[in-house]
Amino acid sequence: MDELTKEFLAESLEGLDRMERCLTELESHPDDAALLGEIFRSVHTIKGTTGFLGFKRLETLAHRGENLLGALREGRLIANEEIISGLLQLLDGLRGILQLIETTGGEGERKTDDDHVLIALLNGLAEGGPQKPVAPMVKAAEPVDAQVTAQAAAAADKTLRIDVEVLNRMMNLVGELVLTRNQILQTTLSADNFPKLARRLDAVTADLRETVMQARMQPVGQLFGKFPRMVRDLARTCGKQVRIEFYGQDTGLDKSLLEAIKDPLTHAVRNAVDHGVETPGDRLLARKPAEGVIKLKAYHQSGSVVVELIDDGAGIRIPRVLEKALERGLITEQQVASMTEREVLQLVFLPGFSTAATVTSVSGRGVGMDVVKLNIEKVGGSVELESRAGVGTTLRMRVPLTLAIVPALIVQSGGQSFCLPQGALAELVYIPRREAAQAFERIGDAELYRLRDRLLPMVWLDRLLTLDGHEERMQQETHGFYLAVLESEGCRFGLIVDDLLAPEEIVVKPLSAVLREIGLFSGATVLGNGTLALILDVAATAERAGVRAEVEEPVATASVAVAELGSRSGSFLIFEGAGEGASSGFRRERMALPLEAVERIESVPVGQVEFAGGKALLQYRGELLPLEDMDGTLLDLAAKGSATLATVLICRRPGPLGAQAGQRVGMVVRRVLDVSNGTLMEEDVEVCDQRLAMVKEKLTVVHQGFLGPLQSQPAQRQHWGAVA
Amino acid sequence: MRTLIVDDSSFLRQYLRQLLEKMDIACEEASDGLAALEKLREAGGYDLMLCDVNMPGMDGLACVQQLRTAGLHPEMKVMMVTTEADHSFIHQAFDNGADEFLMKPFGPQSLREKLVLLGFPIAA
Repeated sequence: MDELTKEFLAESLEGLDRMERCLTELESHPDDAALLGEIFRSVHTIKGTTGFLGFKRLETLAHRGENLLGALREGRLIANEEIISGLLQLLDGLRGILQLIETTGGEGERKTDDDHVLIALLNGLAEGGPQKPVAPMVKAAEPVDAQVTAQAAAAADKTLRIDVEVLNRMMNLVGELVLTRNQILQTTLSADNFPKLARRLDAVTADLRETVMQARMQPVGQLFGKFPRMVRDLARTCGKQVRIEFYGQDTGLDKSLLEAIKDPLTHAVRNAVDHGVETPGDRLLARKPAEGVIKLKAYHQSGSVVVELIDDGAGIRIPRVLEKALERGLITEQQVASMTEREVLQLVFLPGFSTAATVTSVSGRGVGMDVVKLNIEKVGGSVELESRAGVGTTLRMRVPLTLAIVPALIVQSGGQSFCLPQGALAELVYIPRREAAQAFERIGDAELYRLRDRLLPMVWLDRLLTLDGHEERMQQETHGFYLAVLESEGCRFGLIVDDLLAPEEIVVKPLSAVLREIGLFSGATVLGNGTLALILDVAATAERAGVRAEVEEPVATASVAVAELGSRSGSFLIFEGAGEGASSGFRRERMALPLEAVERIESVPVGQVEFAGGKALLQYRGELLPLEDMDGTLLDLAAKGSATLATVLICRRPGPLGAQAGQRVGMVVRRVLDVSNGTLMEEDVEVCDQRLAMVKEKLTVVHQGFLGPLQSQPAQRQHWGAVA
Repeated sequence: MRTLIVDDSSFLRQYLRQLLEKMDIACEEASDGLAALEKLREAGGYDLMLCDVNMPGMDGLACVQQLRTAGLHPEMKVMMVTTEADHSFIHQAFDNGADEFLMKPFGPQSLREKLVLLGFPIAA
């Protein structure tokens, strides 16, 4: 495609965007001459220029539109709803053809194109006769629609309008930069003025960076432009009355980020019209004006841009969300009881969740809020939802100002430097070597660190990357451990590194294919000292290390944990259980049972134990007691002679849940160690299918079968088993 | 020979420039009437102004009128670049002081003819 045609496409599409904005405004000001002039010009320019390129279809359509618009402009016709709808159809038709040209290079001449229907409509409107609506007939670009949207980088999106002043400033700064470089080339390091030059270079670079970033900033309003039309059309389809209002349209956002939030925002607006705002009847019943209002607000807040979507609809119905989440198996009945309203709202973002009672053409086709959240998080942003029944819903999207330069903490591991994006960094912890042994807990294969009563999975960066010399360093290091607490996509973990270096603003460079394949890095950068550093992809690291996402929001969890501290504390019986390979005496683990579940502790000669169908049974006070022998303790003891005493805890399963509830069971253990007070840990730290308790400052596995009904797991999980 | 192209469509400015430069004619551009007047006040020396009619801000008719009333560069020729829809404005344009008009869409040949009509020596 030659330059001229490209220019034509970009200009025409831009004109149509303007026309779209004006048309929606025209609805409320049907005789605004300036608006009419602008709309007329958009079509007029297309009509005037398309002839040069020989796009006949486009020209004919634009010509008819121009006639109608001419009549409006000269006051022979007044824009009514019918005419505006007709003009919107014209707009779609023109845009369809332009997109067709963009993708195929030609405007197409297919029989299925209903240009003549549209032309007839426009002619009819221009003559002032009442027209039958010819609703969904603008299919100009339908066959290639998918392609067109896939080719998101349309001609208009690839160009950028920059304030000449910004460009001039950039040029000045580049000039300064060149001057400073020249001076530096002529001086030596030892020269007196070198520090001065270095400072100058620093200042100029910072200014230049600032200016270039400013040049990439585009007003968010660009994104809002198409919403009035969309909302209008959607509201009609849904039989609703909705008005959209904008605030802070001038708020600047990096061009690439603007592109990134376009789809999520569009989806969210559709959602708000379709599910948020009620029908006029329902609204009147709720003593609200029939017309719903959707507000889009954009503003800067501490280095990020916040875009809020506020509707004054019915709000999200909590019971409905819970019902749906249960139905979809996203949560369990047990979880429901302990969830706060805020946590319930977060469920909306889970994949596969959609509360729309019926699938409509507008939304509710499987693409849900999870996609919105995912897309925003992909660019380093976050999403929040607030809702009040009867008052409305607020969706808050927070995105960084730019992607190209990010603040990061430089760390060292295995002699190499790595960058941790500050956005994912929650805190840094130094653990002195002498405290390490106590602070690190080992449950099976997982290592955990107890940070203010929350368990944090630990990930050793050098081990994860299989860097050389991990063991040697473990031996040699005299200082303690640096733990960077990272959070991403609901995962929280501690990354252990050898050393923390300075925080730096790093310039993100794309990775070569070879490095990208490792899957743990999101980019690379050159550090101040000239060395290369890879930027860690925190989410991917968590996944690789097997850290599971927490179900609840971190903040909420903490409060739940605190609230439940009282109720979950209690006495525990501690005994020696066994992990993997226990029968050979390799590993013995401390385990605990809630004391209330244990009725008695009995010592029984092994010879009294009967075996039936592979199961161990014990005659106990007239009833046949099933024995749970988790790791072959019985066999070990039996080998020493039938008179050897086995320690059996007589326990009662808590009722009234499940068939086994209330039943007595005998638990064969190696040794009873102690009885002590302890606290059951919150559930989200389930590194494995077991519950943990803090007893006497040590982490202890709690047997699942004997916890209260709320905590108990399905029967098949009731094994002691080794930690996964 | 120097020309000033006045049009809000950057496509059209680019198109005209390509045609004119092939004929060895130097071009400068302005995107509306006000910008054109500014350029004309600052610097003269244009032999011809090619002016669109429908432009945002100040349109072509007002531009020509102000140009002629102010008596700026009376020797400069003005050619309106129009479409059929603007046709009713042609007479007004001539009243305002335009010398010729060129109907869109046009190719190199009709542009050349109009230039010759205005008395510019154009090499074949």
